[in-house]
Amino acid sequence: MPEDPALEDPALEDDELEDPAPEADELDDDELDDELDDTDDPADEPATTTRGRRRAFAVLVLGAVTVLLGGFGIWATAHAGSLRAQSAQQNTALIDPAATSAVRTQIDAAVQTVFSYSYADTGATRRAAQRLLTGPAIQQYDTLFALVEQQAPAQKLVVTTTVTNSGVELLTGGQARVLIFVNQQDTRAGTSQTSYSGSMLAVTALWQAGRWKIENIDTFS
Amino acid sequence: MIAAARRLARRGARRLVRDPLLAVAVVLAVAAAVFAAWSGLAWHSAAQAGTAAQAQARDQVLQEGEQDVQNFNTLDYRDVSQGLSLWEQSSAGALRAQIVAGSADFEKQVEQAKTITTAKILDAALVTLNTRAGTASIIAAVQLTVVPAKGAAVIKQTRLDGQLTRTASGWKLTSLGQVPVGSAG
Repeated sequence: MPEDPALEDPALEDDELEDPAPEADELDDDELDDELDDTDDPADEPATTTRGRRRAFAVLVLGAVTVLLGGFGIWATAHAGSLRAQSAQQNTALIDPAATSAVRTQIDAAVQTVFSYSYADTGATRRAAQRLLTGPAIQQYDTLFALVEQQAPAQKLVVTTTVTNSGVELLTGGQARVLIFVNQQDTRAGTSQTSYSGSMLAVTALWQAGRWKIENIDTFS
Repeated sequence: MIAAARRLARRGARRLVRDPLLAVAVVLAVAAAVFAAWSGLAWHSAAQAGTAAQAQARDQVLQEGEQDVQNFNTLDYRDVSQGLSLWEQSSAGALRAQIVAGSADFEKQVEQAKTITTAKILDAALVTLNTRAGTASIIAAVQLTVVPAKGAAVIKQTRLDGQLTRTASGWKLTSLGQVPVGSAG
């Protein structure tokens, strides 16, 4: 097999020459070309060798490209997956304004509801609380509210709780933690006695049955 | 031109038909390119949707804000000037100006009262955060321990509400106050 680099070019020329009248017959071009190719390929041995080498090179390059692109694809897919998993675990408090505002609004309202009552109808508060509490908060609240039910009627107590400030510390998927400052106004019916007090609460909330429910209340005491 | 390109493409296609190995290599490379493009887009969109950087920024603001609040609730009569310079460092704007203006009087008062006040942040949260404008508001549940000149230490809990602003040296308080009890909105 003669190996002369100078022979590489003839292969190209050969390609160009194999169809002497390019635009002459578009329809028959295919067949003509095939015939020419078939006849001249085995005839011209150095050209075949060059072509073979070129073919091997092309396959090799394509293989390398495939490996590189495939590798990148696999890496990017894995990376995208881990990023998505990460953001699902992430604390989106304040970063997701709509979700943050939803937690705040619902938990503020829930705190105001469960800590506001009238001696005349403590049952109303207890019933409302049942929908707003979950988990350990139910037990905590029962203990606390048993005292209220015992004492409020005798003292003719009306308690109004107002949230003055609140901030969402943590918001991940179905869990949240909200720091809340409340003011309580206690009034004894029939007297003009009104007293005010303030408290701070850290409320843990869970997303359940389409709303945020209070799961735990920390009073820092 | 078009005819020539067509001819070239046709010739390429013919060559591929006659050469299955090359054909397979081309098909695989094209498939890999499509996969790479698709996964690249998926990665890009996941990175865009990702909130890691924002979360880190928020945590940073809260952490600095808590430190500022803590600094503002710490004062030792034995070294008031150092305490006040810490207040100064933790504040900006009107609050800072107020401290600078009133520090001499305040120093005298504290030295006479001989109190040591330390603070512990029980919990804190950002209420608002605007990283673009460089403003935030913070609330903090703080436990103060005040040791008087004579007698036992007094421990009390206090609810604080502050405004933060971003400065060249971090997030500083521009206001800080106790949340009043019974203002009843």
